[in-house]
Amino acid sequence: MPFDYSRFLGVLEARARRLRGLSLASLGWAGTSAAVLAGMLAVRLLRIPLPYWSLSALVLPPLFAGAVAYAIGRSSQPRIPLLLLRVDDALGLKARLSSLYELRQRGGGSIFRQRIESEVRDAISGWRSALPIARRTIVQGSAGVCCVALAFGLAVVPLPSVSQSPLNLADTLSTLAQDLRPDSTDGSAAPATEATAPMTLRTDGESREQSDTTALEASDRNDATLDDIMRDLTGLSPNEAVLVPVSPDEIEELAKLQGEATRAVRQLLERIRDRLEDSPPTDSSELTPEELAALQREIDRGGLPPELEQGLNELMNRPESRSVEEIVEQLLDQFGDDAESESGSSEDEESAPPQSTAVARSPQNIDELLEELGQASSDEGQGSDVGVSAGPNESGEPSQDTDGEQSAGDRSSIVGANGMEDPSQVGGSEGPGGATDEEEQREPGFVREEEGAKIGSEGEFVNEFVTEGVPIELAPDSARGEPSFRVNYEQIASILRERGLPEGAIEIVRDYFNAITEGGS
Amino acid sequence: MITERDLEVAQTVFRRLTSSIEEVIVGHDEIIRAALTALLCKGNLILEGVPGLGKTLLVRTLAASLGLKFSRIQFTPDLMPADIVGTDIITEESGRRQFTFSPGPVFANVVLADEINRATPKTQSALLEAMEERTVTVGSHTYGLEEPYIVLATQNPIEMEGTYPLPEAQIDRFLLKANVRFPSLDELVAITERNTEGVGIRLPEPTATAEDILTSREVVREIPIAEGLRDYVARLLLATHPNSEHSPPRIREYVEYGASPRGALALILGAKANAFLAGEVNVRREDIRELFHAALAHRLVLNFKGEAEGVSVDELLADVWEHVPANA
Repeated sequence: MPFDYSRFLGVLEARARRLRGLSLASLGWAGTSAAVLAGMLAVRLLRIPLPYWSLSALVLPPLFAGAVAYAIGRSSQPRIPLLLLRVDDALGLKARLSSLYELRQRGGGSIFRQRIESEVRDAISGWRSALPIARRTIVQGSAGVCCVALAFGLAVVPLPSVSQSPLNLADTLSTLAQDLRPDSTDGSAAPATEATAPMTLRTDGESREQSDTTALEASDRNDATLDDIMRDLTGLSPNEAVLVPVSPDEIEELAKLQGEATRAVRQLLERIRDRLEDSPPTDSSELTPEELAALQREIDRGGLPPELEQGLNELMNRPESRSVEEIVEQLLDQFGDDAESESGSSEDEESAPPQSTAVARSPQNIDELLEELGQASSDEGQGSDVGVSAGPNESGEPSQDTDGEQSAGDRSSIVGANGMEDPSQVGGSEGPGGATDEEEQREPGFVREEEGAKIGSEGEFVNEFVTEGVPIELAPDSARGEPSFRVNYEQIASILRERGLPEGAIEIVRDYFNAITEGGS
Repeated sequence: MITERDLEVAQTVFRRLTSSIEEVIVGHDEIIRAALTALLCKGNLILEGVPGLGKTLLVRTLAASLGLKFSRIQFTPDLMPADIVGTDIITEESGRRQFTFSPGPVFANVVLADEINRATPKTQSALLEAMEERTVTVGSHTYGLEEPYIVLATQNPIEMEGTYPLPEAQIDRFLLKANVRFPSLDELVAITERNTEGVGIRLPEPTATAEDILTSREVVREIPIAEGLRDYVARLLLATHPNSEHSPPRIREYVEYGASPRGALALILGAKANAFLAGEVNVRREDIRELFHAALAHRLVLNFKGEAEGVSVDELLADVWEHVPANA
């Protein structure tokens, strides 16, 4: 069979063009992929909102660059003599192929041409192995794939939030408050949600903006990693990005909403009690469907203290061992003192704005606070589960924060705490709300607490703070219509466990918050 | 047009020539090949080595094998140019005196310029025209030299006393330069055996004619060399220049002037002849490598630093060979 050198040259040139195209394509692909990765890194670090469709666009620029580079590479004319020399070297042909090309270019007959053709005819069968895909091409292509994969991973894997800015904290609190509410998806609960999460009042605009962002960002905000939490614990001061000021107006609105909710429940319970008293004993064992529906509505509205809400649930799903009357009486007992005091103070409360929040009490009310605490301690320890509720300022002046003058230790007198089960927990024993019978007996020590509170009398509260990310809930004192909330430490512990925080570190977190609030808040 | 028969004849002639020379010369295969290469390329060869290594014998053997006119010029410090090229002398013919040109020893086919660097540069330069243009000009007359023509010069190492380094212009006209090494033990034993027993050394009978040589030269020039190898040779040559982007660091440091374009011609032509002598039908990279040092070593001019530090040109060329990629 005659040696078709022209055909061989054509095939060789085509392969060379493809290889050249692949080489450039891999270069373009790798370069653009690296750029995409860098861009994605910047986007994630800067937390720029990224829509979902952008994920598919991650691959498009590298693909486009690779395609363009391939086209350019294929269009470039390879140097045939050098290609032939490469094939000669690879196949050990002693430069015969390239010499044959030279003879063909020279033209005319030559004794050497025939000899060379006869020698290379059988030797070039494996010429393709002389022009393999370059390792550099493979490496570049692989690097590009890795870059794209990393970029994609960056897009879909939530980054740990190093610290949330105060601007985003309100949104976070809003999300968290909704998470804490089991029935937050119910449309009827929307007003109550606003009532229990005052931060949402000022974040509506932001929420609308955030609706366009990906769910990935939301998961970023909620799923901070252990490293992030620990970094927050160790790297930031309490005044830096961890606390956010809560305006008195927001607390006032919150308190107003909570007061309305608790009053409505109390009135409903009183009506139930009256009906039970008026009804014959045989008919009084169950709630009517209307009453059940009303109770459910009140629960759905939200804003109720957990104990009250739990009691209402117990009333609706009454156990066999307890009667309706018993449960209703128990619930009304919770309002007992409130009901007595409300009649005398409700007018003042409505006329004078709530002066402070859970963290503020005006110095003029210290004596009144002591009286309340003494009364609470006699109510079988109910007050121990309740943080300090803010009371109205008798002077009618809004309390102001002394800010820099107020040391963290001042807050020991104004914290709320879940100290019922473990008084050693935040604010449990030392906080006024955590007063127990034993503590009442140690009155001198309690007097020293009063001394501590005097620091607050030297200045006025200007700002009040809620610790970022801390789940808050209304304190039972809110049943009296006063704005007060407390921290649910069990909820905090639950959140930390979900985030994989070691048990030992939970104590560190608790100690941290205790430290920054000197007793908890 | 070269025919298949021409190729076969030429290869046969040179195989026979090589074996006849090797019957006399012990070892020095590379020197024999260099001499035949120079003959095939219409070039000249300079052999460098200490006295007594058989340089002169090699040239005489080559001339005898070729059956060509041979002349030997022993260069001495008092040798004059006219002693080489010839001169006009007054002759009397039929009672009439006239100047008649008396050709010098340069008028031969094979000229041995023995110890060429012992003559003064002026006398050395007398060979320039003969070596390059194959002509000799005396007075107003120019005389052509008969082909095939080849000058085979020998020289002692430059460091030896009483030597004059050849001018760059002249040494550049030598196609190749070969260093004659000292024979090995076995070769030395063979040399003593051949020279001390029997009738001694007998020069071989002629095995080739002038026409065979000329035909072989045509065959050699027809041997193809790939464009990629031409490009390679050019890059090698540029790499010997200190100001070239292709040159290795040591060339930039120690070389004053690199090889001239004549060096590239010598390398390509020499590679062709080398391929022919190897029985190949095209130039290979190995041919270039084998001729690389011989074709370029004498064309590099070291700078003062290179001379002062005694840098070896062969080492510099080895750097060049390693530095320049075969496929760019």
